[in-house]
Amino acid sequence: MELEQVAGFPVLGDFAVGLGPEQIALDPANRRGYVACARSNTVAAFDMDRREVIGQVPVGKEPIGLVFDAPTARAFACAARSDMVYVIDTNTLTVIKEIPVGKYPAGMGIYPERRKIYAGNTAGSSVSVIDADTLEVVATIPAELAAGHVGADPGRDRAYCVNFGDASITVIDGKTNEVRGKIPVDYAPCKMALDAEHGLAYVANSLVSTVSVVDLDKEKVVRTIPVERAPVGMTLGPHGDRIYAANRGVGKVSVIDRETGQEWARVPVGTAPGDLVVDPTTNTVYVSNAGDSTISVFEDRQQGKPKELPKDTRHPLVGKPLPEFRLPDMVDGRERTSGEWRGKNYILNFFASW
Amino acid sequence: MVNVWEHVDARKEAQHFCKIHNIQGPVLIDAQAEYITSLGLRGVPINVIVNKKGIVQAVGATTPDEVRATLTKLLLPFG
Repeated sequence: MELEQVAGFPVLGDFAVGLGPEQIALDPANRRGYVACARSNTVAAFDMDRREVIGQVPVGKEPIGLVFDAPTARAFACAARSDMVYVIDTNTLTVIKEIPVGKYPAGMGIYPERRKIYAGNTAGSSVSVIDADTLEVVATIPAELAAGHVGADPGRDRAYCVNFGDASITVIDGKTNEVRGKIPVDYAPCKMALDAEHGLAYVANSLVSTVSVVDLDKEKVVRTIPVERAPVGMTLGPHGDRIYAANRGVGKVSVIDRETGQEWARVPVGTAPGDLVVDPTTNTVYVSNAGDSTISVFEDRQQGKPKELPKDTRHPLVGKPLPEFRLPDMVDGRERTSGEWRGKNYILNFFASW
Repeated sequence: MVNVWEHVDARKEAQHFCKIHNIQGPVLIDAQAEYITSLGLRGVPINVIVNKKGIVQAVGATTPDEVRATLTKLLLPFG
C-alpha cells in the first residue's frame, strides 16, 4: 500500500507477518523482533533490519500478548483461547514450556529486575505472575474486569495492570505481589507506557480516543490528551520528549509532545494498527497492523516540534452518496444491499471482533 | 454493522462477538474487507452516518459525544 509521507517520519515500508498481529517485542542487540499473530496462532520472528519474517513458532489459540526476556533470550506469549502462556527459546524458535494461567489471558508484562512475567487474564479478572527463570506461576493477583496489559516500574517497585472493562489500573506491589490500589482512567484502556524518568504513565483509552497521563506518585490522572481515533498501542518515543499512540480507528500513529499534549504528527501506517515499539538504537518504530496483517516500519528523524502540525480534515466521503454495498448477512449468509436502507437515516458501524 | 478484517471464520467470529456484547440488529460480513477498503477507511471501529437521501453525513464519530452530536444534527427537521 502506498502511504502518504510525513516530513520527519519517513516510512521505510511494511512486511507481512501472520494473521492479526498484536503485541510486538524487540531484541535490538540481536536485531530481531517478535510478534504475536492472533489469527495464525503463531509467534512470528522477524529481522529488524531486513524487515522480513525469519520463522513462525506455532503456539496455542489466539496469542495476543508477548514479551521478551533478554537475559534468557526467551519470549513469552499468552494464548487467550488456550488459557496458557507459551515460553519460546528464541535461539531455536521452539516452545520449551506451556504454563497454564487464568481465563483468556490477553495482555502481558515484564519486570526484568524482579524476574517476573505477568499475564493479564481478561475473563479471569486477575493477573498471573510467572517467575522468569523457574517458569512457574508464583502468584495470582485479583484485578478487575478485562485485565490485560501490565507495565512495570522498578523505581517505585510497582506493576500496573490495565483493566479494559473497568476503566482502571490495578497497582501491584513488585515484591510482594499484593494489590496496592486502583487508579481510575478513561473508558476502555488498552495499553500503557511507563515513563519512569518523569514518574508518569500514559494510558491509551481506545473507545473514547484519549490518552490518560497518570502521575505514578499521586496515583491519579493529571492530564487527558485527545488523539485522533481509538488508540490501542502506546509507547515512549526517542529523545524523551514525545510519546506515540497507535490509533486503530484510522490507521495512523499519533506523535504527541509529552509536555504539552499537543499532537505533533499523524504517521500513516497499515490498517487497524494495535501495538507499537521503538528500537532505541535507530529511532525506528515498528507497528503491528491487525487489519492487513503486516508490520509497518517508520523512522523518527524529527528534532523537536515540527513546523507543520496535523490538521483535522474532513473525510472525502462526507457530502457524497454512500457507494452501494452488497454483503452477506452474518446470520444466514443472504445478500443484503444498501437499497434496503434507502429513505432512512442510519449508521453503518464497521467493527472487528478483536 | 459490518464485520471486517476477521481473517479466519468471519461469520463465526462475528456471531461470537455479537453474542458476548448482546448486539441486536443486522450484521453484515465484509470478509475480504473489499467494501471498507473501497470507502478509503483504514481502521476500526468507525462509523459512517448516512442520511435519508443516502448522503454521507459523517465519517468517524465513534465516541458517544460524537455520535450524539451527529445524530442531533441529522434529526433536525431542516438540518
